[in-house]
Amino acid sequence: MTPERLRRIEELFHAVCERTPEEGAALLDQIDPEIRREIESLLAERSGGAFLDRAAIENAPELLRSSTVTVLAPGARLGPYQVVGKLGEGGMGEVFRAVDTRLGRAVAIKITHEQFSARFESEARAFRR
Amino acid sequence: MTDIDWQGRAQFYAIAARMMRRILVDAARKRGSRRRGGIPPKVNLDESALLSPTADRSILALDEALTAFSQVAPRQAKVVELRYFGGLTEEEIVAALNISPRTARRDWDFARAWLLRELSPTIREPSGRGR
Repeated sequence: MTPERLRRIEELFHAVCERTPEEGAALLDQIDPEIRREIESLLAERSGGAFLDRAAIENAPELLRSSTVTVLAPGARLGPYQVVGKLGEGGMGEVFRAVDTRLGRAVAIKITHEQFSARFESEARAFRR
Repeated sequence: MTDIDWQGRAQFYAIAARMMRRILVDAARKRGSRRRGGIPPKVNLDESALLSPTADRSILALDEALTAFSQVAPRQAKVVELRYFGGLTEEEIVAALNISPRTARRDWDFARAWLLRELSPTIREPSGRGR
């Protein structure tokens, strides 16, 4: 595929898209069969849901959520923290009971579904004492 | 906002989209080789983009098709990278690439059709349904 050929296909693709179905068909009738087949195969892709329509980045938080259970199973370690079990779940995220193995102290680990918000930070500050 | 701010911002978005693409492709490739090697996947926190084998195949095939497409249609390929991997809106793409809204829309429509056609054997088999 040369850039020139692609440019021609692209132009015709848009020309057909921007016309009424009848006008588009009339235009397709005028072009050579090989290019026409190319255009028609592209036009066929316009309908239907496609994985491209959802940005890759939008899948990340959802997938993180569904993998939390596996990741933070009892006994799992996050740095010095060893997970004991899940304490609860809310709209914002999940809370786990864990042990800080350096000090042998119980801690709570909160995993949020969303990005850290100002509220989350102020909550963390309030609980630190 | 000044022009320089915008240029810096646009460049940042472009780099972020490129990095996101690389991270997802590398992760999909790694998972693929683990599956083939029969080693059970170990789930890490940083492996947040845990995807199914079908999704992994789609990502890898898209990466390949997008690289080939960028050889003949660099701007159109960039639009896809920014929108799909970078998560940019049409408005942000217009600003980042300094193109008109019409061009951004047309580039997306054409690139989308082109890439889906290239990918159709990968994402429709073996389940027989697009995902």
